[in-house]
Amino acid sequence: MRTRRRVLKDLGVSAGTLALTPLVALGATARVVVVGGGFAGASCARQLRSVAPGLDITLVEPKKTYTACPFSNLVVAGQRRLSQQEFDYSGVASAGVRVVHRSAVDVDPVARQVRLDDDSLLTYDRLVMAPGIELRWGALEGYDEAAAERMPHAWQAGAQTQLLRRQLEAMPDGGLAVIAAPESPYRCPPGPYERASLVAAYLKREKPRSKLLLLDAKDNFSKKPLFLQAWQSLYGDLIEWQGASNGAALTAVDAAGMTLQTDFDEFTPDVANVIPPQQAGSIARRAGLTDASGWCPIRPLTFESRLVENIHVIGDAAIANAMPKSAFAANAQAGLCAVQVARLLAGEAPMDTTLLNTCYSLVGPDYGISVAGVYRPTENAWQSVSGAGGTSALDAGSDVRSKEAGYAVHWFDTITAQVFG
Amino acid sequence: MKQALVIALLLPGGASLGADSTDEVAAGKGALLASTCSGCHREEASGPDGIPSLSGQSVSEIARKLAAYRSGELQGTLMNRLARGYSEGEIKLLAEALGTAAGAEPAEQ
Repeated sequence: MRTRRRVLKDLGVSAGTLALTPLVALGATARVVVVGGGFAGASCARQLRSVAPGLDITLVEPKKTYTACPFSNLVVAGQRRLSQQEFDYSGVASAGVRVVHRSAVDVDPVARQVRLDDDSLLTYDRLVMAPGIELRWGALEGYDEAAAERMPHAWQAGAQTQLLRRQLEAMPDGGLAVIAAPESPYRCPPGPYERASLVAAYLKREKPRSKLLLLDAKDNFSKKPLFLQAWQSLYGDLIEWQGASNGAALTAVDAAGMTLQTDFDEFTPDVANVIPPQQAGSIARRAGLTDASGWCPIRPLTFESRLVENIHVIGDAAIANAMPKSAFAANAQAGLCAVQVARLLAGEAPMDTTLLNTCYSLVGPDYGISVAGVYRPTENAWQSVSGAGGTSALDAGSDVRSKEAGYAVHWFDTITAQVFG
Repeated sequence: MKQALVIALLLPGGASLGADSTDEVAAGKGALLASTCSGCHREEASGPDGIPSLSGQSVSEIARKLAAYRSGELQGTLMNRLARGYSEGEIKLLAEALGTAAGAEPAEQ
């Protein structure tokens, strides 16, 4: 007989109107609630809709406008408007997802209900949590929400991004800007270094007598040799990086006095961008999904919580081991989680697969670099496939750097169109 | 992800499918593997500076390229690093999921 696969392939052009006979078994009443409308949650809700149109899918996200973090470093550096980072949920809604602009405040895993901030309840058969990160206020002495108004983190895009931009604009030529990077794990491992690169490009152009100091709580970071090489060739000694072994980890900050303390030193910069330690978004903790690390342990193949049944955790909040906390990884996990949730609801076993990640960083005009990884799930962890992945070549020519800069832009446009378009 | 293959993702992996279940399960697995590719590769044509679109490429063309990236015979910016992470079997599944079905009109590249 003609295989069903061929039939399905042939039908591909008109997917929206397909008679989805294989899915009848799912039952039209199975309810999936997705909490969090970022690259993980919005993508998962949408992909659930496309793999299992019979499901009742609700996305819970308080904000009506999502402000994307990838490329927000370009806003900090004055090369992009914040509005270019903003996306609404009309695309998600018109894909057939019910979007509820409320905050999830509590989860009852026994009754399988999510309580929203208007006290309404959403009942689920499976819950997907994609709460992203929360900044650990006070984990760094002196760094609380009030301090962030003087010393922006700009690690959740929006008003903080613009605040840091304004401070850099107001900084005098010859001033000192500090970026303080946290220990791992945190959202977007290469992010602080991309930011340093783009801010340096701005300073070199507009305020060339200035200095950018990167105070790092660790010794190694994503794409380090590539960044160091690029900084040297593009910005000379404008950027100085100091790692944990140099005693550069912040021990305390004093926002009123604009001072940053390390073990051996005290700095009083004109601009202080403090990227603090992070943990899973607070709803994950309230739902009992976090362990002592503040992040959510999951069963690799399904992203189902190890701590609470029928709840899956994807994106930055999840402990995905070798997979970094990136938008690409969040979107990839979302696709996998959508399939596994649909399969589990249909009484099918999870499907084995391989995931990948790609992160581009822009380090200067027409100069991009990348890191990639391929990952396999074991019983306990997502592990890198040995021999695969890695960074752009250190000795690559300007043609490759230029190409990767273009690919970075293309990637952003593609993933945002896929998730929010 | 190709919409049609999405459907195969949910097909039962066992008894209810009868004789061609293996083929269908493979299609589902291929679609799932290929779903991460769409993080970068668009379905529609991309400009000269964009990440190449995969649409219009045949199954055998995609299989050949992935194998060549994997062996290093073909040099890309990033694809060598990714292709090395997939087995020959996975490359076959990826190509079948991403490639234009045999017999379909190949698009002009």
